[in-house]
Amino acid sequence: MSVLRGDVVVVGAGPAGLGAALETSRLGLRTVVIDERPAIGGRVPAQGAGLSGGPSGAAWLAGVRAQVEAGATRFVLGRSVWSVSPAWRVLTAPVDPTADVDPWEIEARALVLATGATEQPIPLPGWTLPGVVTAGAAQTLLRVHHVLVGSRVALVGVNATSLELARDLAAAGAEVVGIVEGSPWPTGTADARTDPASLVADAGTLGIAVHAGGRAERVVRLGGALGLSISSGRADAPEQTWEVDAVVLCGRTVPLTDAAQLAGCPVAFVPERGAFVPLHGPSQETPVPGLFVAGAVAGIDGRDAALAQGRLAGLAGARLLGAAARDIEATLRHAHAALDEAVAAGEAREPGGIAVQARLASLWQAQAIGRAGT
Amino acid sequence: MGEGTVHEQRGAPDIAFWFDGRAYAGYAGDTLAAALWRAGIRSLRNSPGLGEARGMWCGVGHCYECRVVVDGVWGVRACLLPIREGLAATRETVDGGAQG
Repeated sequence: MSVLRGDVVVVGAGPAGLGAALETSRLGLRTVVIDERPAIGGRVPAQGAGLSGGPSGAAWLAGVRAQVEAGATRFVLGRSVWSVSPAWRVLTAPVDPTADVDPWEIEARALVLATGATEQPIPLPGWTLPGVVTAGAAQTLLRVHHVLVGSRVALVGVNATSLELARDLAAAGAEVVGIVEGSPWPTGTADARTDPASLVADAGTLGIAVHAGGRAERVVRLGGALGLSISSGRADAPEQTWEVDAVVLCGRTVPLTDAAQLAGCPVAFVPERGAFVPLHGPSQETPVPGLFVAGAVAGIDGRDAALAQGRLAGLAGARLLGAAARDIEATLRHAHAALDEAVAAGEAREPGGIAVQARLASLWQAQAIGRAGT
Repeated sequence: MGEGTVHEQRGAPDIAFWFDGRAYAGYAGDTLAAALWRAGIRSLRNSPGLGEARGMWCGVGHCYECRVVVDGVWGVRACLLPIREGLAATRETVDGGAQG
């Protein structure tokens, strides 16, 4: 079995990973991008246009794909990463056991982790019944594979994700029975920041029923269909059951930090994000030499911000490896400005991202002082 | 309807594959889980403890609820596995043997 040697290895072919690879390839570094999915883009192809409009994920990716394909990045797709060790050795395994395993080991001088985020499950008895899925699964079925998750669908979790998905499922021909909260605590949006009352108002504008005050209790079999039992929150009102053929659980997302922790990067709880985030500095560097994080794993929201952050990580990696052009500092400043702009645009859509960035900056300063003192 | 809807016109599915001994067809770019979902198949395995039907849950490779058997190898995630002509997958079953 062979070893593939490069200068930079990137885990994750979503917006952040692509951004990093764009910069490192442009600067002449041999760049390898690994992803479990069979195609580049991460979750982007499954993303819609957003509640306030904009390009669909597929349209957004088309522009980035053209730039990536013009470069010399090598993609290793359909491959899982199961080991990461410093300075840097990445071991992989194919998703398809009949696929070629070579090169299964990839070595590089710098590692950029752009592993994205994962949905936090909404705990609900009956979640294992076939037909109960996460928002990510329903989005992928709809927008990547053009398959309706069900013909009669209930969504659990009142947030921007469930609202947009309900709207798009209805537009594609599904009957959306309604949206209901699914846990004792609000599931919020991607990061639990958006005001639930404004979401319910938005749902009304979209013609989607939100069962305000109700709570999904369990999913049961109803003959060949599924039943979603809903309590009213009042002792005198009985439970009701929605008969559906699919239930979509729309939880919040949290950074997928496994690989970062495996690589030895400390994580810190960020209250403003409600999640653990790998510690990182202003150029996406971590306390581990040669290790960078970018995108949703680094606690940022939105594909534009992730792309900008990936570019920054790629440039910082190139500077570390001494491969950067003479104008690297100016290029880095430009990348920082692009990131700030993307974060500000995200803030206008949904407040909170700037507070997360401020917290991450102060956590970084605190650990830098701590390290200097030892 | 626009991009991303189920109404997109693209002809009949033309990649033949097998699941649990039955023939299905899907499109290039389909994952096994998506092609089966389109065909109305959501139960992909039986749980080892209780034998309950299980299927795709997270759809992005994290939860392993959709695992199937391919080429004698257990634990293959149907939500990430692209279909290809002649692919033959089977259920993971309670008794430890793949059904053919």
